[in-house]
Amino acid sequence: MSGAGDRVWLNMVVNGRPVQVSVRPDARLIDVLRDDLGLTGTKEGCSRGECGACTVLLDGEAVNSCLVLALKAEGREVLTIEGLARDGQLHPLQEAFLRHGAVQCGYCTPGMILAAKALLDRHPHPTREEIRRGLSGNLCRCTGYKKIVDAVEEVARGGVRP
Amino acid sequence: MKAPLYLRPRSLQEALEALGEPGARPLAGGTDLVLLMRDRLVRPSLLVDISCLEELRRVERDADGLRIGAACRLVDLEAHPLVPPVLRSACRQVGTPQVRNVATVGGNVCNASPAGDTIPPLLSLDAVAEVRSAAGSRSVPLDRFFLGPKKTVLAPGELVVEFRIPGAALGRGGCFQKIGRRSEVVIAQVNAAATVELDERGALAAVRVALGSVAPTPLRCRLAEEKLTGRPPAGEAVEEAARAVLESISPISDVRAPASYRLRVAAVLTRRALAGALREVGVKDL
Repeated sequence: MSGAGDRVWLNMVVNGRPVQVSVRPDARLIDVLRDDLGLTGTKEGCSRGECGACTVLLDGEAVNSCLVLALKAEGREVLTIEGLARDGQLHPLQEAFLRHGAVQCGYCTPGMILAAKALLDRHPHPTREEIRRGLSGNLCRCTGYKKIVDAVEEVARGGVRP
Repeated sequence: MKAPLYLRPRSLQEALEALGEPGARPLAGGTDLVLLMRDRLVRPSLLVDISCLEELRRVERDADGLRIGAACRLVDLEAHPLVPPVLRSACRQVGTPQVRNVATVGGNVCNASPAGDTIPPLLSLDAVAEVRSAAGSRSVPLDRFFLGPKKTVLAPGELVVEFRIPGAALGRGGCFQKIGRRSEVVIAQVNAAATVELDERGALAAVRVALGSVAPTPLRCRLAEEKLTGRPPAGEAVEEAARAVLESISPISDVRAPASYRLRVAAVLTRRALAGALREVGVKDL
């Protein structure tokens, strides 16, 4: 419980590391990630849960961080785009996006890649239709989606568990 | 705006006591509430996070029928083998995958948008909302739950804990239809659900038709149901029911669609929902 209007402690694991932040009870997860933790890879697009640019993984599931109250992440694991690359090595999805030209302005990309990871973690070999459905919560204004689907399909076909 | 307090109760009892405080609101997924708070349309002084309460997240059959916990997430219901297909289909079509990973059926119902996708299926299944408060409990049939756009019969301190679907409704064929400006993420321009049951002679023993987005609340179209009950399920009868729906509804023009469009589409979705429900009980050609 917290005092009215006071900040509260939030404890969660972000990109594999435990963090403790002092937050307003009505802060959104995106606010804490970007403003308190400096993880600005997560973008705010529509602020209403319609574009998916703010997608992060919460306990492995894709969520709109603009809609999730930060305190709901108490005791849970958050993965942002910054958490994908390991020791300077890009994640297969990141490499595939680059190879296929699936990044233009890049604004949708962090959310798109995380949504793709959540999809492949659940369905390692989706059809193109299943890929589109899995990414249906992520809008892209630049690419026309084809190269994004190509990139995800390549990772899926490669059988590399992302 | 002063930030509200946030409480994660460890039991339903603790949640209900906290909800008895003035200005307290239940928080489930928050996909509606967070936006309402940011738009300053609601200003809770206390958020009671009920999303982790196990007793609100179960789906169970019992002697009377099916019980669906109000805090069940849409992603969990959309693939649940015990949940009737008409409701699974609606859960699958709310928002986006990201929204469905967080949003709950209780939230969708209690937000009481006339366009709430889970509501017509629940109405077509004769669902009853089980309501609890620190003072006691009551059951509210869902067709008496809504008072107007975003308004329900819930009093301050009351919480919907589960939806009960009677056993008799579970055997029916059902179908959900939704139309919007695109295939995902949309708030329905019109949505519809129908369930049907045939008797031994192949006539319609039970018919339910429920529509959303065409009136101040989602509603059962009893006129349409009466047109069909007791009759053999022929194309003509379905046509009459689809037309009868128009007399029960009062769509408005808004940013999503003009009223004239909604009137036309309401009849079309009713026809499709009935045809789909009948297909489930073996009536293939109408």
